[in-house]
Amino acid sequence: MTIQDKDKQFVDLIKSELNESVQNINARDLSAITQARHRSLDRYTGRKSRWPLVPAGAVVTACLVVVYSLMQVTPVPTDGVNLVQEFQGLVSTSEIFNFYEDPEISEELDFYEWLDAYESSS
Amino acid sequence: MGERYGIVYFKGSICKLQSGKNIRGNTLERNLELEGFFANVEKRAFRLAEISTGNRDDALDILQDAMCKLVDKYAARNPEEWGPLFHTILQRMIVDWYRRHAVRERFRGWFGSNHKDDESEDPMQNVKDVYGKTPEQEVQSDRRIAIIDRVIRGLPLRQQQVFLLRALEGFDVKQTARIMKCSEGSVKTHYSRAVHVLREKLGDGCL
Repeated sequence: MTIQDKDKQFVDLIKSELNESVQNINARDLSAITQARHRSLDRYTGRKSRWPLVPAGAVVTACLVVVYSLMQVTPVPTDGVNLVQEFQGLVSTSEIFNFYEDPEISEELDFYEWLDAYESSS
Repeated sequence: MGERYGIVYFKGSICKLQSGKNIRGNTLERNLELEGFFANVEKRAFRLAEISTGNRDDALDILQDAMCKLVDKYAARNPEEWGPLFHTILQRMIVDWYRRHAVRERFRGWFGSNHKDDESEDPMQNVKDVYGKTPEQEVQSDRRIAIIDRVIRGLPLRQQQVFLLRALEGFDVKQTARIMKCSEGSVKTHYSRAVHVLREKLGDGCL
């Protein structure tokens, strides 16, 4: 018998002993092993059943963020009269500016002054 | 237009319902597959961890952690991949246990307390169930197993892992190399050395 054969025979004997020891695990250990299995599987089912709640949670969070950000924005004045007055004020000011800044009119100002004086004298 | 929207919405609802059913069905199916897988490997995995650590409670902790890790990380993988993945996780956890144990032993050495955990165990808790064996046979068998366990545990960790994966789990050289993340050559070397040491220590007549 070669060394390899002897080794194989020896290993087979150890294998059979180890297999027997697996078959002879006591009831207490078997129960603990089964509990370990169930605990790990519970994690799987628990994790999976939580997943459908994630989109709902995300939607609720997004809504809350939108509402909060809307509440933080400075309120715009809603008084219509005030708005119109402000607009008119802006328009008149711009007209004044435009009037004095129009080069054509400012150049002929002397003429209009002369015309006024002439008309009043006549 | 309203009808069209109605149909689209209706079809969408049906699709959602069907996919929801599928998800639940897949989860249940996967759960059953995982349960079948664990039921198939758990006893051997427990024995492997018990031989490596020499401690029943630690072996159970390692087994449960390995199962949880497989469920957490690899449950979605193809069931054919679970075997090597589970044993890779298990081996890593055993290596971690060795590291922690070595540190603990070093601290114990410094503080001068060398009490062994198994001394405090209640011997009645480890009484095995006897089916069809005489007490003498049972005692002899237990003694043989205890000797084999002790001698295997005395091997260097890598040799121990290779030997148990090949002898107890029945993995071939290639699978063992994949699980242990090493070359096939080193698996062969570790295995050959392990067998040599075991033969030397146990002797052919012991078994």
